[in-house]
Amino acid sequence: MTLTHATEATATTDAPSRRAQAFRPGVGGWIGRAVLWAAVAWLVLVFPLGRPGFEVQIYATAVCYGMVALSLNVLLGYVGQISLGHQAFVGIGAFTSAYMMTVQGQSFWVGVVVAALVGGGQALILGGTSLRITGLYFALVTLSYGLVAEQNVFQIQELTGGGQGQPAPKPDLFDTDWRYYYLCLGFLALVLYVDRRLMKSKGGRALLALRENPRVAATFGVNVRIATLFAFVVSGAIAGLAGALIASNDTFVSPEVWNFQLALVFVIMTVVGGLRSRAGAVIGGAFFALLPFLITKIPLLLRDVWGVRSVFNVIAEAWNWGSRKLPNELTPELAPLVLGPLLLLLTLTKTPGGIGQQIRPIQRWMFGKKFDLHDHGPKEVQITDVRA
Amino acid sequence: MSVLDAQGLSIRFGGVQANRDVSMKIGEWEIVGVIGPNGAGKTTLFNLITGFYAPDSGRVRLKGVDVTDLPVHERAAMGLGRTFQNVGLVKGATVRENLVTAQHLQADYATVSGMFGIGGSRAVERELRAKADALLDVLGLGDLRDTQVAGLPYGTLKRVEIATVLATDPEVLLLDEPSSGMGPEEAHQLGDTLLDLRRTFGLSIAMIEHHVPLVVRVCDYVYCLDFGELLVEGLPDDVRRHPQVVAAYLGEDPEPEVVAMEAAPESLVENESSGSGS
Repeated sequence: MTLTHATEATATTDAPSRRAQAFRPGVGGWIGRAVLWAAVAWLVLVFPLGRPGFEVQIYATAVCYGMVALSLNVLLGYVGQISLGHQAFVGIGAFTSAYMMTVQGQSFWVGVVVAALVGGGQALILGGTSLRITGLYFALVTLSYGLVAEQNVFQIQELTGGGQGQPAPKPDLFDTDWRYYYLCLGFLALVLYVDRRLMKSKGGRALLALRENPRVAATFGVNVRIATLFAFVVSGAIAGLAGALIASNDTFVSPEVWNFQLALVFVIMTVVGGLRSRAGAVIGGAFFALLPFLITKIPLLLRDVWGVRSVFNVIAEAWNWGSRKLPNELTPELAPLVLGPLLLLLTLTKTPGGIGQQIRPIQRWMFGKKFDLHDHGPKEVQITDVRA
Repeated sequence: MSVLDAQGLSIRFGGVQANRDVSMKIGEWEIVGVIGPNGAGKTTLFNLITGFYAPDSGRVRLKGVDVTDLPVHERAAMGLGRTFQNVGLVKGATVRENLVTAQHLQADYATVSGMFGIGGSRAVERELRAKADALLDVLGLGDLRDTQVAGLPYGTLKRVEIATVLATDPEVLLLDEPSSGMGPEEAHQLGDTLLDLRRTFGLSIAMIEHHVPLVVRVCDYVYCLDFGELLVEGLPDDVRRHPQVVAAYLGEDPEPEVVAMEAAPESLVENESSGSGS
């Protein structure tokens, strides 16, 4: 019966009547949208100008973490494979760039390009050998790769100063914290553009098809293994690029930071940010990068500037008390690892699409669609996606 | 010459001989039916031809080329398309996106130029969308193009799936139960559609089908499988009446007196009435 109805509907419904239903916002609607766009632009572009340099450096890190989340989103969101060794890709990118600049005397730009190439190359070799297996077992391979990098690659004398660390200067044109922040934003914009084009071309569509059903993708003529490997290489290249940017942002790369905890934070921030949502991934990455900073800053602001003493303050004071009593046990740097799993739990049980799914109605509204709280777009994330 | 020629295919899964020495041919412009009770190995046969399984023995020739050792996507590139029993579509995408995805091999640009939106990839993308829309209009599904696949009723999904597999530009089409989820009326219309498509696109089709009137109407030749083996092959009407086929569907021994009865329901009724009389 459905078929008969469908055929009748085709006969009676013509194109103009369908177009007439399309929503056009009024003048007020456009002003509202413009105000929100301006607010976002102000927060991203203008607000950091008035902040001290050390803070802007944290914001630049947040931008780079956004890139890392996008990199993991390619693998975890589009292909459905999980990497627990992404800190190695980012870390090796950072060291490669630092090595090119400090030891080889090359420019920052050469360092960035080589870091991205090395990131892609690593993924090609690791994926080429191990992507015969997928899912949990591939996660284990990447996990051990991350540990190998931590124990061995980051101890190489030439590359990392033998565990001492490697200086990584900023480029001449972008030598202040503020200018460098905008440079990072520029690279983020590039990554966002590439990601968008990828998903609007055959490569990205093949990835989405094979994530849902590799057999169907194969009958469409997709070489499933090569396509998965391709996604891994793209992910690795973006991670390497982000690593190079983080290196010059800190002006020094130390081997200790690229540990397994960081890999966990990367995965958590991508899932909490929202799989298959570019905006969600960037917000998730930025949020987790800013978390240690926010966790100390916000309660102080509440108490000292506005005189508010909330539950939040009490928690923060308990936290500070804890960090005084137990040094190296509960520091703000651990906030992502404490709050991260809680947020992950909340995401998996309540909103599998993470922040991306939550903000999608606003996003669509900002792009001139009608506001519909329940419209999460055609690609709503299912809980099964996250299980990997 | 037959466009698809499967010779002596056998495959065993553990203790189950899923296919034993099964041979099947599809002639050019032919519609071939594959029938048989549940678990007869029909879908296994299709999976062997598509390349999901490697046969223990036997060869598959596509357009005269031995493809037995080729992977699935290379057989697809040679013009072999197939649909799935449980609907082979990307459920998270819209109907049109599915058709565009299916045109993977016709998207004539490098994946990397697609990533940067260069090398004419945008123009090719427009062509792909236009072709998808044209195909949907041909199949009367134009209204559904922006609908997400996941919410559609089963019968419609089967039609969308046929549109999608047509978008892969196949020469040989394997359809796995195309009429499942459809009522008799819809199934009749599906028959018209298949005959139309064969004419329009020059297709050779093999289909697994349980709907006997549809098989009899559109098929030129029918194979009947049972317990993984080829039971009977021949013209639709002959196969339908063949005593072994009737027996296979009824699950009885092919004894002469049962065989003599033409249609299954009558034989059941007669048995019943004779039982009550005695």
